[in-house]
Amino acid sequence: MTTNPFEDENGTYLVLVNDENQHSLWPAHLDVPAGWRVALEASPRATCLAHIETHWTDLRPASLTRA
Amino acid sequence: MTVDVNVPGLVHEVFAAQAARTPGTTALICGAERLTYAELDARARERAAGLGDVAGRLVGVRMERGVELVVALLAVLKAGAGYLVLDPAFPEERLRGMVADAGAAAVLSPTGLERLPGAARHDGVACVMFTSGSTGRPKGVAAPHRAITATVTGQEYAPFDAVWLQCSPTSWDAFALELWGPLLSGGTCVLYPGPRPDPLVLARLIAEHGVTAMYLSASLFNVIVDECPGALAGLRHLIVGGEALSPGHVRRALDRHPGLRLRNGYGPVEGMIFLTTHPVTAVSGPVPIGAPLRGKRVHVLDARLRPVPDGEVGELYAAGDGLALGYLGRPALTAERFVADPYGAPGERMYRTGDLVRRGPGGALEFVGRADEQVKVRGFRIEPAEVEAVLARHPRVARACVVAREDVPGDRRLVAYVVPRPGGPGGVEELRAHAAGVLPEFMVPSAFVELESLPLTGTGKLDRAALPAPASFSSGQDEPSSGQGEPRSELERALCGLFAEVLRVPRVEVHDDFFALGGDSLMVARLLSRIHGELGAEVGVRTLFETPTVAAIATHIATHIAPSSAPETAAPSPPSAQQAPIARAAAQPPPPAPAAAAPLSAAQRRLWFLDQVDAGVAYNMPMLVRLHGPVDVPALRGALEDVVARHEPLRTVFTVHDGEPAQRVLPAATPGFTVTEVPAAELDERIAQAARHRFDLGAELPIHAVLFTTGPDEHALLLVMHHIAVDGWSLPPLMRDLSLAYRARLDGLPAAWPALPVRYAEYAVRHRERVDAVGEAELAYWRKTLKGLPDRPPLPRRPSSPTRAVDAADRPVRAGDAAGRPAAAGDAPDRPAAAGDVPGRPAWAAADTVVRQVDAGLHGRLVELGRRRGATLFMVLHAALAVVLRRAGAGDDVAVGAPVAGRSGGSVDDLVGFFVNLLVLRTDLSGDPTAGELVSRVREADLEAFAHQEVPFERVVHELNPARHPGRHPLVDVVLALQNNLRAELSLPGVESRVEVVRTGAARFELLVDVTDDYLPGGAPAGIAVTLEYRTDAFDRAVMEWLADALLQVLDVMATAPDTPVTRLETPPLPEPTPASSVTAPQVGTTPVVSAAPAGASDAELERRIAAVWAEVLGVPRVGRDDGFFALGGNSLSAVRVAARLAAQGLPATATHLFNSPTVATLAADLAAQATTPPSAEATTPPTGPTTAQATAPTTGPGGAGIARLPRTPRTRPR
Repeated sequence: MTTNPFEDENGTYLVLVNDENQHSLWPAHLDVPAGWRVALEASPRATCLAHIETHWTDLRPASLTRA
Repeated sequence: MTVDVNVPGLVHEVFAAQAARTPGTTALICGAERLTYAELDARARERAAGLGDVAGRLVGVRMERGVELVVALLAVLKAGAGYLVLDPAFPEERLRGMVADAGAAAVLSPTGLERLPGAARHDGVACVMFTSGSTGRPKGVAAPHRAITATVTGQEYAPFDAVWLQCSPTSWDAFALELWGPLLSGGTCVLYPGPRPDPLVLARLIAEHGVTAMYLSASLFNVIVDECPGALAGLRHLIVGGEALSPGHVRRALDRHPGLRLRNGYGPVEGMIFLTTHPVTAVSGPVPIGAPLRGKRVHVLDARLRPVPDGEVGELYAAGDGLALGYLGRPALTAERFVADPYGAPGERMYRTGDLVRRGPGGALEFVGRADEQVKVRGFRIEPAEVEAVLARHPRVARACVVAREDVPGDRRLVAYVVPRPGGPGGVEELRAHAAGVLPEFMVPSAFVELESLPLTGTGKLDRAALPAPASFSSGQDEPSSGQGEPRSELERALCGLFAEVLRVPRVEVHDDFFALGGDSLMVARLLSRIHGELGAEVGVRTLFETPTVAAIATHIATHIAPSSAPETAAPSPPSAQQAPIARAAAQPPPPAPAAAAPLSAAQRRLWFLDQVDAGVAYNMPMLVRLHGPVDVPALRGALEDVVARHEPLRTVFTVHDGEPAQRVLPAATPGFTVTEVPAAELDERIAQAARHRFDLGAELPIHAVLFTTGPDEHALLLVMHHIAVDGWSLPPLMRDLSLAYRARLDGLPAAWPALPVRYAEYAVRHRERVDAVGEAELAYWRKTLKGLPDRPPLPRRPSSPTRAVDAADRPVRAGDAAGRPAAAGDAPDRPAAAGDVPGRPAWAAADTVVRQVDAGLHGRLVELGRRRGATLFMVLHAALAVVLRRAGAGDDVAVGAPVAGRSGGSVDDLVGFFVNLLVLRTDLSGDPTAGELVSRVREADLEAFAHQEVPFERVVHELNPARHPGRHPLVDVVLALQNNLRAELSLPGVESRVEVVRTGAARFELLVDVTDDYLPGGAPAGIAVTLEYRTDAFDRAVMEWLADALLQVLDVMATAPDTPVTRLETPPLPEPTPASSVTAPQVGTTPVVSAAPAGASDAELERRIAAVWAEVLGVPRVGRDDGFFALGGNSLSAVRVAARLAAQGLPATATHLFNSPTVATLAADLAAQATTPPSAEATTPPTGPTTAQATAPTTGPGGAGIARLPRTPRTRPR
């Protein structure tokens, strides 16, 4: 079993966001799944995580906060 | 995508709808409290109104499990908020951290509502559950309503319209299953009343409330299957999860409860309760985790997130219903674990579990392991990094590493390795306290090991394999080899190898202590089984505990098991083949084929457990035959061998496999037969000594003989037998067969006895089947008949009423006048276990006896009295005993135990073996009947009871589940045994013989009234011998003398004037109980009780027993009286195990006691206080102060307390 694609400290990742403003770390070498857009282009893992920490401050799904 | 939190299906709304449908149905039960759906709904609504505006916020609920907790949780939801259960057992610091991390708006506790500033909004969150975090901080999993409703409604893995027992920790997601499952579907939730489930209480709750469904963590499940499998009776649906299931335990549960539908449940809290389940019907290897729940999806993906082919290992990702929203206040952590799902609807997420699985042949998923360091210990999910982070915060810790070790299979423990900072280590206790101050109990390491540095691999990573076993399990390892420990024989060499293998140490010297090297009770079992397998020798558990060195075991094998073989002379052989010659040499008796192992009968099992627990010699059955005349010793020896060959129970040993006893009938075995010359003056003493032989049921035959010779034609043959092989009804055929075989031997012929109609083992199996099939009607009879039985009849007991006496039996009493029909007392099944399996009564209570003789004339009149009333002599005696007990203060409702042969059917009359059952006979003395009327009443009641004698006593106890008390037999304190089995006679040609019962001086009951009726050859009554055998710690001798006298007097009046109302039957005045302060000045007519056990000794004894159980359960070599249970590595599960074992010994222990009183001394005090029966009648139980009798504390004589379960003598041992 190889390392999980999300756990590679030296890997390159994207930050994805869906319509609910939920964020996802994503391996840069994999296709972006439908329904997600890239919020941060390929970056080191730590950078991506820092981006998420600063940009996703409300974990509530957007459909709830919009209501 | 649309997040599902907006769809209808809020937990409290689904509940409200259900409450509207079934308002009058019972929703919640906790202890004596019961709420209907309507009541619960109303109370929650009312409570919600008091919460103020908390909509969209989180509210912490800090309450113990109980009705109020549920009302509060429902109220929080109704108020539009989400709840966060704050387990009051968690350290304050952790709770505060949880509240802060969650950004809760308020905390609701029994003292009120505390509002907190700076609350965050958490719309849509139903509940938050904290779980261990790898970054050193716990993380709060925020679950939307839909995660709960979708998981517990519309599913088929379990019926929710049922009675569920809720016993998981309230901080787990399983709590949502057990609570909301039934409450959203019209079922009933029975809350376990207390923080930690105790198997005994579980069993009672299941029976009492008709619980049909429940969830158990795999660890707790294993404990229950081990300790009281009967607890699961009545359940129809059981889901076990949290960890990999143990196939052995599953198999045993299913074997025992074939109707049980068992499911393996799998799922991390992020996916709410279960992602997958798997119905378990048969077990052949690891149990799959199965298939996803309805609405949930799982993917098994490789490193590029592609599905792996079936059969290949991949990481499990979960999607669909049940997913949490994320970790509160941890966006980055959420974004790495809840990630975009390439296989779901657009915008959907999946949770990566970190669990490695594969899809098996049938499509069911199989759990393979973890992709990271996360561990599960006792069902709790733990990130070792979090514990490491806590330890590293201690100023004296330079580096820390925490691992879960399973040095003992099935017993995973958290072990911390710490590198201290220069300046000296802080001390293990300080570190433990530091951890316990911050972490919940389950995250506090069981052991701490100080290292100079952490071992690293070549690549600089932690070398886990190089971490040593915890020091507390391996003290003495560092001692340099003395050079004197080299094995001196092949047998020793082989044993050294086996010791080392089992202990997993490089080498073992012959004088090394097995326990000092880290041996524990599980390793004991493994070692003994290896010794048996490789050396062909059966060594008993006790032998190993008593003499835990290679040298001693080698001697034991050489002398006890293979006296004729000489392993020392075996030719040296290469190490690889070293066992081979030993296996042959030491194999006597030859190892039986594995097929010979059979389960125990219920009765045997009871005695076996008693023996393991420490029954001492209470269950010895010593029979003495005085022989006057020429005895052919070789013929007698041969005859005994023949008898042992004929009766399998006499050559049966009891082995343990996986904690489960099995009996092995040895194909051939030679019973011990010692001939010894003794001066006549010493004979009695020597007999007494030999009668107290402590049997090792695992290694020795349950019978051996000693022939004492005092003169040319004067002998005394002592047959020392264990009750597990022989009961009172066995003695006539045993003696008859011995006589027959002796004659045949004299004639040089084989004994010509008729073939036995059935083997004991076969009978045992058939009987078990019959017992299992005992109908509800039979059980209902006992439930009805014994309902409301007074807990403990107030009798004039000794004031200090110690829980147990230490053995003071240096003076066995031979009851010569009860000749030939030995006490069936012990026949009486002793206190059965907890839930019916583990018996265990404090044994070794010293006994004394009072003997009276009913003359032939009165005997005749009693028979006549009975005849007029259609009653047997037993019933007449029973009536009289009831009258006397009432006079002694027992009240109008008197229960007496009575052993019955348990040999219905007749085909087993000639068998030697243990068959006896104990019946509880209840007598109603109210309304002041006449003596004659009472006899009729007793007759009616006894006949009915006899008609239901097929139900084993332990089953009755299980049904009734009476309160247990230390040192007390359940249900009955007084047993009446009429020895109406045939007389046992040994008839040797030309030899006069007289059979006598030898009493060991150890009591089996508080009071045994042993009655032997004698008749002349023509059948005319010849008198009745009445022997009162009583616990000297329970009764003064004066009281027993009175009781015997009163019994005779009542019998006399009953026979003479049967129309006398029972209240007017004259008895002598009841002596005042000896005040403790006047023991040295006994009252007139009383005899000082020599063997009184003072309370102090009893407390020490209690401590010793507690220490023994701790040592066994915790696998530590010694336990001191001030040692803390948790400091020794105890945890809630082992607390449950300890409680079960103590309860099985009759102590009112629950796991909670261990938490409240965590040292041996405090627990003993706690239990002793609880066991003290409040004085029910001042006249009979005067309060006493410290007693001067303590000065006369009995000492344990040779062969005394015989405590052998402990690897080491605890420091607290009172002597």
